[in-house]
Amino acid sequence: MFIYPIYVLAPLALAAFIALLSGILDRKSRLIKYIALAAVVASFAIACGIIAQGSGIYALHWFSFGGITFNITVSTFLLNKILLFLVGLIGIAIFIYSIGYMDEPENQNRYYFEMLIFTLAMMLFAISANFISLFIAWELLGITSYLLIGFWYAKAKVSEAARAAITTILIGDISMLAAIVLFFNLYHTFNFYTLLGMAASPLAVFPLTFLLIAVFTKSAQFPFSNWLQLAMEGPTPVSAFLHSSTMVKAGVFLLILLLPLFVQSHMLWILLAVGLITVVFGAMNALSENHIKKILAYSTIEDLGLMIVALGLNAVYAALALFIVQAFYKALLFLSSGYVMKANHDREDIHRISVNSRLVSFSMLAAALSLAGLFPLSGFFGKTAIGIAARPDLLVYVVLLGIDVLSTLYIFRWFFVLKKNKKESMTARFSKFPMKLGIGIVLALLIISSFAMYFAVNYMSSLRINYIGNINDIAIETVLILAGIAATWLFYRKKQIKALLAREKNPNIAGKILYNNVFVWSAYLIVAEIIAAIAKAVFYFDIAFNKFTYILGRLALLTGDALRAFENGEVNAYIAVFAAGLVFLIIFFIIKL
Amino acid sequence: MIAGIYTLVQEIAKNSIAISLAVPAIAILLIAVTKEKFSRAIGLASTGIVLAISLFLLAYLYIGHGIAINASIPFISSLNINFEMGINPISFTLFMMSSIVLFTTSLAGNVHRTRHKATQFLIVLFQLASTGLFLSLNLFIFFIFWDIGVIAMFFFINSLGSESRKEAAMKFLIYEILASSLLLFGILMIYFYTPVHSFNINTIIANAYLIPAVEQTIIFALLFIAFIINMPVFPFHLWLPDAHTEAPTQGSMLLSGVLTKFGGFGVILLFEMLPISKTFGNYIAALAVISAFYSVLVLMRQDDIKRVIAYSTITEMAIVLFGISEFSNFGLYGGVYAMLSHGLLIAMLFLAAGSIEVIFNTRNIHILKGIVKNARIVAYSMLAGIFIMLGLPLSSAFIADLLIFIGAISAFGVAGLAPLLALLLVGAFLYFIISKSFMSTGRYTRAIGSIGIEQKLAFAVLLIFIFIFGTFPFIMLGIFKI
Repeated sequence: MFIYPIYVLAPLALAAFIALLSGILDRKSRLIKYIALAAVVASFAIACGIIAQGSGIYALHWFSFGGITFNITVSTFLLNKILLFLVGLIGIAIFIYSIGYMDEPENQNRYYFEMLIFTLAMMLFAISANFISLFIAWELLGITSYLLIGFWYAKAKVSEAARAAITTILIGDISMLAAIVLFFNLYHTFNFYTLLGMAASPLAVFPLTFLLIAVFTKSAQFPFSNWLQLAMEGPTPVSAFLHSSTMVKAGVFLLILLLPLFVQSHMLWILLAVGLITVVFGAMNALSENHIKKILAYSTIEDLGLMIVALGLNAVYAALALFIVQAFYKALLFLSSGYVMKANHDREDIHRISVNSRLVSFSMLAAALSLAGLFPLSGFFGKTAIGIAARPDLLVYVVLLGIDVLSTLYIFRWFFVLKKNKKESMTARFSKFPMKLGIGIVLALLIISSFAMYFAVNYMSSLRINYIGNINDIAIETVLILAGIAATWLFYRKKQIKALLAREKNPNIAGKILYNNVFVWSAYLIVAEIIAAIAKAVFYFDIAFNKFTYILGRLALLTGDALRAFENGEVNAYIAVFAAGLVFLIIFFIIKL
Repeated sequence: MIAGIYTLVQEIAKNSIAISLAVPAIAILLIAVTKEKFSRAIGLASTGIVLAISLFLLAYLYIGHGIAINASIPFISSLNINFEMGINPISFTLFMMSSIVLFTTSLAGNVHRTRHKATQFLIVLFQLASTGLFLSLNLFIFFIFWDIGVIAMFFFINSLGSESRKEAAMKFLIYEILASSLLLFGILMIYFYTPVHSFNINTIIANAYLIPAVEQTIIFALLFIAFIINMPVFPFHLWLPDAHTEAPTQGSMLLSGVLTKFGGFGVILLFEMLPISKTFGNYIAALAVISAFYSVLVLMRQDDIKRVIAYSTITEMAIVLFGISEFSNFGLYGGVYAMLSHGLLIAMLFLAAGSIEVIFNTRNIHILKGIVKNARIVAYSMLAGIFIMLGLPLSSAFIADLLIFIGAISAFGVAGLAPLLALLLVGAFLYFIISKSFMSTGRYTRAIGSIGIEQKLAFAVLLIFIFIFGTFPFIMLGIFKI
């Protein structure tokens, strides 16, 4: 039996509709979480069916106008299958975790409606093969992530965080629309694969620039990276999903798909430059942050930057390797931090949170090691692949090695500080089992993916894809990581911690520059202020213009008043004017004669 | 049996114009003579019947019957003025939009739940005007219905509005009467300068090239100014925000939803009629871009939700004008689709703004806090409206944007993307309002009123139609047959 790829959306759409309906009817449904989970599982099953069958491209006719057909085209090539599989797998873990996490009965319908639409949008994105289906998925992703980030709208900071996210996303959406119409005008097609087959046009720089802006906003690259760390105000399963396999990965995925276009137009250097800046900013900020989730957010920014760097080096497979393995360790990090936050009454500062669940501790350690890139774990393969790609370019290689050490530092700072805290009795009561189950699934996935990466090495080398390098790479990587871990251990486990904390609270100039992207933030403010100043000027012009029209009206009234003097009801005056007019007329006729 | 049904369908289609004019005319009389408690039912019946007819026509035209629905009655034979009405794709789209907006306006009624008789009377009067205007094939008839619409809207503001309604109504009337007089003057010039002396639009389209260039330019200037006063476009936009501030909710819905489309429809007619208008295409596009940016920048300093939405109307109508000025099928039909989308959308936004006023007794964004807590449905409708305004896929606005900007690139190159930046600014400010007044941190404005089921239903109807036209765009575009 043949399964059309679009069917993968059906269970999600159905469940979302149920959630919407029960939300409108104000039902406090207890079942909706299970319905949502069932829908995701069903979707994943269908996705597996699609993955099992051959690849192809399928156009769904939407409408046609002016001789142009607007299709919703989907494809099931290897890339699509990889992303579909990732979204489905992580999605199941996240929805199981949500059962425990989201225990407010009044918000269930809203949460699951938004989550289901979010998943649906990501699944559609995974299989989209033309700009129409891409744009539908792209906008739905942006909007649902806005709604999810602003989920607890009554909490402090949430509204600002959601606004930062949606404003950045809006820039991306508008740029995407611009890119789509420009591409269409240039190549007369919406289809990616037709587009990739066409000869490059020198004018392709315009749409590609807009496309890059869209990708950078979605994937939180410099200078649009700020929204991602603010977005940590949202529920943790959302963060886990958003950072691991959806939303922010969408931008990178699109770049992987359309990279040949950038190669043709010689625009890779932009990717490399932006990626490197982002990587440095992300790693530095992660080191100076104290919010348990924001450290991870900066780390995501760094990971995405690394992928962009890899793409800038035209190493698609390196980017793809990190793309896949990052999903598991980042999801695991977020899910475990959500668990410990919940257990510590939603505290956010790493210095005030303690961990005392053995499974969660182990997951955190495994994910941290994988993020740092220790040899047998999956993160290693992603980082090494990028390192190998960067080796011809010494500067980039050195920067990346430095970043390797930095990422070890920040993630083990995170881990050690959390572990160091005294084990308070975790008094918060919540249903632990579903959350632990979700964490366990992702932990298993992390380990399985490590083995898979390890055992696939030979197969991949036959395809001339090398993500393991030689023994030197393994040695360099391992030594750097162990040195990083040792340094972190010394700094954060021993006596120096108080001095370090004091220094973190009062950063020096270098710290200030790096912390929270001060420059970027002030650049945003300057742009906003310029627009506000122009708006103010135009606003006062509008008022003055309004006054001016009133003056025109006043003039008409004055003219009326002046003329009214002639109509004062005095018969004598009328006769005088009449006589004057008569005389004037007679004179006129005489002259004319 | 089946043959009988088929004949019935044919008969209804043939007489659809007569029915959709006769129904509001009868309803006007009925509302005038019956008691107040029947007014709502009569208004709802009148708008509902016309909505049903327009849906029926939509199906009828989509299935493939060509557009040959015309009606002609001699009116003043000595001057060759006939009561000519007809349906073409563009007029039908706007007719469809206006009948949906009118139905929901009548359904929502007066959100303050008073003065039903005056409200419904004016809604039905306005229905007569808009139906007649969009379906007219004769400039004389067009003018008559134009003025009926203006008068109905004047009374909406003047007798149902808020505090300083008299001033706003007078301002509205002065601008619109200026537009009407220019319109009348232009129409008469067309009549006298075309060799055949006709008011019939099709005849004029066929013969307008015979008008000398200078006269064509004068006629163009007269009519264009008349229409952009109504649209409104900078520098003739000043009446709109004031009129909206003072107008009652249902008046605002009709004002931005339908009345501003009179101007848009007029511009389309003008461009079809006078061949010389093509030479002004670039200037008109520039004016539209200026208008879009101007209104966005003024919008960013407003405190009143209704004024914000009013200025966003100017932005959107500027984008419509931008589309029309491309002189291509994409731009033209994109503009028409944008008017369809914008009419439904803006009616929903004004209904939301009016509901906010009823619930919280203020519309000031600096006072309102946490609307979503106490007025859930209103807040989500508003949010959905904002998403749609910014081109949410599967909503009608996306189709409109796509068509307009595909056309814009081929007409103006990369510069054709300029209005997108204005749209971006609108979005940024609207999201600011959402975060400031709708979400907020722990403080909530107290609700002192509530809205009824009928307003909620009106939200639902508008949203459903927006998504129908966005998800199944082939229905409307199939009728265009492009």
